[in-house]
Amino acid sequence: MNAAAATHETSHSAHLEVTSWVQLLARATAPSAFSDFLTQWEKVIFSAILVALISFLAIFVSKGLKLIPDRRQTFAEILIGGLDEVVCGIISAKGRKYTPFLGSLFIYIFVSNMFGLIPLQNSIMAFITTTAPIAVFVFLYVQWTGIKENGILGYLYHLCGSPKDIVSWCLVVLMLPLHILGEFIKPVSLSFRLYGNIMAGHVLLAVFMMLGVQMLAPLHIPAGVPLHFPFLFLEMLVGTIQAFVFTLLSTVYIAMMLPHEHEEHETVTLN
Amino acid sequence: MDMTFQTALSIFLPLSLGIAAFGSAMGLGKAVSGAMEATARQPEASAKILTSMLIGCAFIEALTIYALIVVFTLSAKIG
Repeated sequence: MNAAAATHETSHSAHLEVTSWVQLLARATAPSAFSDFLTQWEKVIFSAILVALISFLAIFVSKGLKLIPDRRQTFAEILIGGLDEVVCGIISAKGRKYTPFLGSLFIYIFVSNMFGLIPLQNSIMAFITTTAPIAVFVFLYVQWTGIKENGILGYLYHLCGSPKDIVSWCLVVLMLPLHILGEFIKPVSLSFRLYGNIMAGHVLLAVFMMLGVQMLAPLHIPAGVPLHFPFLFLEMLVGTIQAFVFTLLSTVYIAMMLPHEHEEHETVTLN
Repeated sequence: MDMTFQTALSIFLPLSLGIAAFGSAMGLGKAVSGAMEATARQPEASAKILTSMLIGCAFIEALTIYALIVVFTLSAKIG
């Protein structure tokens, strides 16, 4: 039972973790430079496989675009059109130029979460070292968008809370630190939300896997009851929702940075 | 039994997670009940209401997850 328990724990983290094929391979080629390389670069290997897979899928889908689409092109159009709708629904029609960035965020997080549920694999979003750089990059992109759209003075003016009358100008002393703190809190919450949800889900899977293995421990066979099977569906749901929430929040942050002109309300005529 | 910091952590970490779960359960209950009432009023908008409810639930759940992360980080210190 100790050996079975050891297959589900790693020594690096404080919590249970599901073993992946990279870790198994590293354990098989135990004390060698290749094994150290594998343990150190495990998440980068997963990430590289993911990026290659998404790129191949994208190239495969977009070969030979026709005006009247066939099934494969229709599927891609539904996906990309849906993402475009979400982004443009929040940023209004000029959000079209932000769709590539936000759409790829969604696709990357979604595919990596789904990949983590295949047996013998781990989702790279279950580690803070993966979600934090993505959140930091979104933060930098949002600030860059603010500076590019508003100009550097307009960006600082926006950070002061856009003071218009004498009361707002007196409150600048209060609003400026608050807004700066708010800007820094956003990537922290983005990264921790994604990390916590996915990691908690995988710890749940690992605990149930260990329970399943311990149930068959008296038989001394390297097998276990798949008790974790219902939670795979929960993890699929959570992975999708978290990818969507990450993308939605990034869209909202970009929308808040853009200049809010006096909105031209499209008047709907009731005819 | 003297109170070492390990004893204190062992008492308060699960307790804090329970309090966080209680708070999020109340918040989620309100959110889901609002969504169900809205769906009962207008069943043809149920897809949009479901999407908004799921997004709201993800936000509420995130606060409980922060407490869970703290528990995981500190639980290594209990011996």
